[in-house]
Amino acid sequence: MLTLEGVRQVFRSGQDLVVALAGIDLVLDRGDFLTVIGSNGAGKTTLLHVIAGNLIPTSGRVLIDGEDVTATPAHRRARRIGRIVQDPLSGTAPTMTIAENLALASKRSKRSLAVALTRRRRREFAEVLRPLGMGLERRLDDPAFLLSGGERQALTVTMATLARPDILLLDEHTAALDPANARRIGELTEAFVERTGLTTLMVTHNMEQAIALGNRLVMMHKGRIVLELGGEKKRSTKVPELVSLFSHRHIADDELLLETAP
Amino acid sequence: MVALLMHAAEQGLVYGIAALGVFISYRILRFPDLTVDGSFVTGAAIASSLVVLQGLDPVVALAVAFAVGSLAGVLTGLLNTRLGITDLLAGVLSMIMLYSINLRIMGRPNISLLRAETITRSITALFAPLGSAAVLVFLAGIVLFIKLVLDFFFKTEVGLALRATGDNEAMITAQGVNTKTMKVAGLALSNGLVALSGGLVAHYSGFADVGMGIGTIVTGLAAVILGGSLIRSRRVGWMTASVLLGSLIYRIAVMFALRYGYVIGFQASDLKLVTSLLVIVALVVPALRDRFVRRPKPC
Amino acid sequence: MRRLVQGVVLGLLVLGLGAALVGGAPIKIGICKIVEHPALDAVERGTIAALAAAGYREGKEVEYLWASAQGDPNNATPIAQNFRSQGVSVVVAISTPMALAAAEVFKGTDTAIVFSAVTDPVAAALVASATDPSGNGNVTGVSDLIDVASDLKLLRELSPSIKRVGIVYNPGEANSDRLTRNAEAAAPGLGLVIIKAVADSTANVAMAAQSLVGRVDAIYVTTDNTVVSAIDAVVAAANEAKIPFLMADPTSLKFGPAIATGFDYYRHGEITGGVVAQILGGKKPNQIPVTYQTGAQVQLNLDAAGKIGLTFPQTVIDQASAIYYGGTLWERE
Ligand SMILES: Nc1ncnc2c1ncn2[C@@H]1O[C@H](COP(=O)(O)OP(=O)(O)OP(=O)(O)O)[C@@H](O)[C@H]1O
Ligand SMILES: [Mg+2]
Repeated sequence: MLTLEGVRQVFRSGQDLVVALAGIDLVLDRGDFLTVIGSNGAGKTTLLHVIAGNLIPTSGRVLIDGEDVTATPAHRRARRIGRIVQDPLSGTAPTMTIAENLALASKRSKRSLAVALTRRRRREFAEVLRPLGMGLERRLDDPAFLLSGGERQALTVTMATLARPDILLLDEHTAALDPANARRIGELTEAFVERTGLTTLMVTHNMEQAIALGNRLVMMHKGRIVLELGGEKKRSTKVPELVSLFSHRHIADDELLLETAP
Repeated sequence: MVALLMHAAEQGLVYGIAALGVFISYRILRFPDLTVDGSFVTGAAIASSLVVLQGLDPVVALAVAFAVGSLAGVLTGLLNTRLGITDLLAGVLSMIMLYSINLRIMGRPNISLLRAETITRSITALFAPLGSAAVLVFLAGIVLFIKLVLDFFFKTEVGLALRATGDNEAMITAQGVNTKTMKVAGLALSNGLVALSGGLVAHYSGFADVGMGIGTIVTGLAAVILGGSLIRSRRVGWMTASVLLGSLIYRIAVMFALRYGYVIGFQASDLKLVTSLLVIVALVVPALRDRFVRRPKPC
Repeated sequence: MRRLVQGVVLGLLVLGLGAALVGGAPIKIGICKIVEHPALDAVERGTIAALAAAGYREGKEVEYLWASAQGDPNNATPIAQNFRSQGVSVVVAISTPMALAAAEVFKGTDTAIVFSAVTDPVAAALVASATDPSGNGNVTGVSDLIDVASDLKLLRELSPSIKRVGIVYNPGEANSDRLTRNAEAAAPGLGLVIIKAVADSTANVAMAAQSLVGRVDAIYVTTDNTVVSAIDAVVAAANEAKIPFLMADPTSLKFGPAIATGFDYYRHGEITGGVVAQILGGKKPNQIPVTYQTGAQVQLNLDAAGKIGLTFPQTVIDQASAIYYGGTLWERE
């Protein structure tokens, strides 16, 4: 499904060169759910940028279904890639209504001069919002900026489901929410991924979540994948074990800055 | 008095089309586009020279004016999105280039339409039974038509994508929209409308002048802001209506300043002061209203 | 209270009636110009003075409505419409855009449009031809078209070595554009070559003038409002190149051109006032051909000539009506 070959990303910041990705090789099969952990500045967000097409890597290749998309612009990959980031503000158009936002997300092929919001579409949108239990189905004509962070992130997840992408990229998408909302959005995402079986890459600082969700886990450090766990091994690993695993690899704990509590 | 109000309304409508153009760039795309100071004249230049020099039908001439105005928008859009020139600078560059281009189109700084078959003359002849109201009725007709077409457009899939481009560029990119194309298209539509307005103004006034574009952005913004402070809605239909209302009020105010300004001591030379004061009032009133009128919090 | 209002209204009525019976209501004349500008202001004053001299005194026989478009052609039409709603009998429209707007708004009415300070009324379709004002029926006026060829001839007389003449101008000004074209048309016949330098705003005049240094033998500026506003920059360039500078605006003589020619705009206004008086006297606009002002003056600035080492030949001195010397203007008796 998704293949990264020797991806390097080097930034120039003033006189210095920052190596954000120092050679990433990664293969995700259809239906894989990969959780990504790592300290601040490890290169997790940069990795997602490269996959989504917001960044063209300094070297290396990105392939989707065997097709080289390394230099394909983001808006052309968007039909296959859904993306949700940490900031709830960034996933919706604030002055447009909930219904309009959903209409924007539900169409990723060529857009036409047909009316975007028919009565039938509105009913469909109300139906997809109802299971959230937030009452958003009654607020279809409210602009998105009136929603709380949690409501908005729920809307963003719903928008991602409407578009039926093949790959879903999640970048700490529950980190800005209070614990209750974070759990809710987490469950929503899980249910969605389970239902559709799409290929998912989720960045999180929550170790519990990283272990509980998905079938594979990688740990990044200084632009490299320093640890990979899969299958049975991942499920049986406990949080303290995970931390000590890293220590064995001579990485100082204080560099990890991991949340060990949920 | 009635005649004067009718004239003010006519002007509110003709310039209202330019204000709708400014609305698209400024409010929808959030792109402060100064191209309009040039494209307004481009429209006037094309619509006049095609009628006077080429003997074209006024309707055809105005259609060409719209098309060429759109090209000016495309130019600004490409300068911004392809060459990475900032929005303000891209607009200024286009505006300056258009000054020379407009002079070329016209061949001289001023084209008289006194002997030409203008759209206003055709309309007056066509709707003769309406008498002096013919022009007003006609203008109200096309402006309403343009407004309704815009309202419809902003509800289509493309129109929604255009609005989202101004609202949250990163988000709509992630939804598969090429925002560069959207900006270019939006600026084309905007400047096309501004040029159409310029062409109609030339036909209405009986002349095109290379200096008539100066301040298009200011009066356009005045209409957008004035209207927006009176009708506060996020629905597209209301927003376009508010722009036209703003334009009408602005032109009526100018007419009143000309007619009755002297009563309160204004001199002929104070006209600019009056119109600027109006814009200031439009900017300040909404802020004052928020401060003094308690309204229920939204949500 | 009501009685008071009634009383006032009645009183006003009686007063108005009385005035109408005694002297007739004053005739309304609308005067409008495109922008505040010394030359255009002089036209206004000249017009009023000439009308007063002809027996049309302000506040007595005639009443004036004033308007300025403040430099924005978009204000021209509402100004004319406003005049129309107030029932003016004559519009004095100073400058081309004002004349065009007034002609359009008053098309087919009895109100006379008298344009003034319009360089090319024929190209503006204000009149059918210089001699035939019947085009719009109610439009006639006064043109300030200057004889560019005679200015160029004057430069030729200064010195036979003058071959290339630089013109600084704003192509966006109708007058200036027209005159520059006329100069280009007249130059070959006089053995001259015109080199144009464009200044589309006051800020660009200096650069345009500097671009001529070393490339021309003399500088010529017509009635160009943009360039006149920045005349110092042109004077500086001419002095630097030590070449004569001829300015077609007599009021600018003291600012340093070697020669100033052209019309007195107060006089232009007086001619305009004369046309208005004829109309008030009962003549129809379409019976009055366009008046082209004649009698351009030639004025010499000896102080400026000294700076560039120029001595005026006797033939030029003979034409001069005034001389600027030692910081004072000396008019010929
Ligand atoms: N545009 C850029 N220019 C320069 N340096 C950058 C740029 N983007 C990222 N970096 C640097 O690249 C490194 C990796 O950043 P990245 O955002 O991928 O980290 P991360 O793993 O997502 O961190 P966090 O957990 O804090 O979100 C950091 O050192 C960062 O400063
Ligand atoms: Mg990050």
